[in-house]
Amino acid sequence: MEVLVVVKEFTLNRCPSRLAGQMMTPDRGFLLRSHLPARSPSPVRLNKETALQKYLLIAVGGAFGSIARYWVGSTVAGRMGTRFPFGTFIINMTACIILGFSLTYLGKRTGMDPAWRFLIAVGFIGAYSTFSTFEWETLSTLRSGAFALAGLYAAGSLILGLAGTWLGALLAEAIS
Amino acid sequence: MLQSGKAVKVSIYLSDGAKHHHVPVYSSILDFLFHSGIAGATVIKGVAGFGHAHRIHSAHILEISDHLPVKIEFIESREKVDEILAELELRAGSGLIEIQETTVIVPGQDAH
Repeated sequence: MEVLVVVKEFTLNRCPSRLAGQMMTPDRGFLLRSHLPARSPSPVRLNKETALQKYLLIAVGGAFGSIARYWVGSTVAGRMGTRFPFGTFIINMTACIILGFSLTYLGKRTGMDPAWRFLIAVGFIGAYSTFSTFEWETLSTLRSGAFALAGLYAAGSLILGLAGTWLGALLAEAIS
Repeated sequence: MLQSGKAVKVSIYLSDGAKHHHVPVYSSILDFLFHSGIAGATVIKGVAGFGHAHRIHSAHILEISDHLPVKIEFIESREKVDEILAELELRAGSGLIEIQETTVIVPGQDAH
């Protein structure tokens, strides 16, 4: 009876860089793949330049988004009064529609510059929409005793926001 | 010294965040009243309102929760109020000053 001894060797730290990308399954060890060509290194290697670009895109989109949020919020509050947080509601609804649209549009295509994703989805919409203000206004409404209104606002934002995201996605699919 | 009987109540309507020479207006006025020997004063902060700029503010809505209303109220004799009115107007800036005739009962004093 032959006894097959499999030497498990976790050589990731010691092996040359060419083999560093090889997939290592914990139970089979390095030796069983040695006859196969080495895997190419992951294409998603962020060097300093692309990381900086990414953050700049997010920052620029974010700057516009937060300013747009403030402007829309204060304008709507001035026009529609203070009995219901119309401003944040409209902001979050429109943000949902835009996000649903842009992510579906970008997702259905290949070859789109990833910059769009960072600028619009992460940057602009991230800063334009607000969850914390929505919760603050719900808390504020509850504290003033308007329980039904607070419930309506919270449930409405959640459900209509979901519907808005879906609507945006539908629109993107319709124009694809 | 405020006596029971006829007096004058002054209300000053300000906005939180308004400044007079880099000092918040309400604290500038409060300090002035204190050092002028006024019998007493109260500062009240409002939860919502609008003023001469015709822009509405509310504590419930984040974007317009700046510049909430602040009201300073004090009661003094007419003579005393006439003395300090000019300086008050200067410090209040764009704030509204309301002067109201009233009657007060000062605790621990004989009436008349």
